[in-house]
Amino acid sequence: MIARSADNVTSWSVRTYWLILQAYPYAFRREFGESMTQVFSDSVRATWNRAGLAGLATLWMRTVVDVVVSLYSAYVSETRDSMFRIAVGLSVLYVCALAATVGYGAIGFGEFYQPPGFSVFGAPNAHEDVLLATYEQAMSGHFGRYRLFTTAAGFSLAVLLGATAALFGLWQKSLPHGAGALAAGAALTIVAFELLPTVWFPLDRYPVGALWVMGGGIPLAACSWLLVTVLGRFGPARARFTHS
Amino acid sequence: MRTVQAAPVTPVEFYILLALVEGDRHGYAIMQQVDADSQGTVQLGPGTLYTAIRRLLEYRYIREVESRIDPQLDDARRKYYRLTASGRAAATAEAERLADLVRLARMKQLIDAPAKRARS
Repeated sequence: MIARSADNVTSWSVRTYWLILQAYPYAFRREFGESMTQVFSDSVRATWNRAGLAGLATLWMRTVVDVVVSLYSAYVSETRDSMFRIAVGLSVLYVCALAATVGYGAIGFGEFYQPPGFSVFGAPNAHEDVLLATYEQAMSGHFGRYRLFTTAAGFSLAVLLGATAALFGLWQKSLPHGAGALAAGAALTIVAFELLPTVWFPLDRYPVGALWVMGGGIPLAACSWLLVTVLGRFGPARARFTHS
Repeated sequence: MRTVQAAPVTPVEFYILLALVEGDRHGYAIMQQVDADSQGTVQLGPGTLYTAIRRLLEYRYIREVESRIDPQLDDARRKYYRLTASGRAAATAEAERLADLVRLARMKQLIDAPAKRARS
């Protein structure tokens, strides 16, 4: 009975750890994943026999910290990989474009000053009609320069985000890695557009954020992610990305 | 091409090199030896252990020797690691560096000499 519960606990812990291991870089888990699972399995068995459930809880807490710390080291040591360099380069471009967009939004604040409206997360003085009016105004051509900028910035951000996420997924030979990067990038963009302008420029005064959140930014990013992923995995030989 | 011989080692890597001085070990045995050597103050998780092992393999301070069964554990095959000559030299250099630092700390009376500390 005790032996069976020990086996169950070991088996459950090892399966969970194996899932967590999928977050490590592909090359790292290919080389060490099996050994790491084996070491963890030995640790679980020894801890369970020595200290029972309390010991196992402590071991898991230590393991979570260990995973977080070593994940960083494992990814940093992968920097020599060409695919990763491309993804890092695109990420830098993406962050620069995001910063430029937010910065330009700050400059455009004077042009777009409106009475307080609402944010996506809901402000006490929410007025949807004010936001919509501002959005319509931005799209009407009255602010042609700003409209052109928002369109170009939104398009570039979406394509860069999708391409970066796809390259990351290809580098890791894992679709979930790419999907996770895409979701994280989209969330980062929404938060940047939503929270940063809320401090200084509420969303209703900030059409770039409104265009991204309400417009086609996320679907466009998903399309570019899909395109680069398909080209990288199934495209003609010249279009495929090399993996070291 | 990076110069691997000159690469300094971190405390965790130094503990791993020390664990391998007495002979070949697999990952779990290294982890247990580091735990024993450090009197429980350094408890490596699999992630930290294998990121350090990877660096030591890159520096060629250790090498993988074979996969075999540890009769004391289970029937699974395990990768064993061995200290190389350059790994031994790096561990020696690190030990001497630490010994020099301890000597300096004693000279500046930051810490007591062993005999004096035992009396107090």
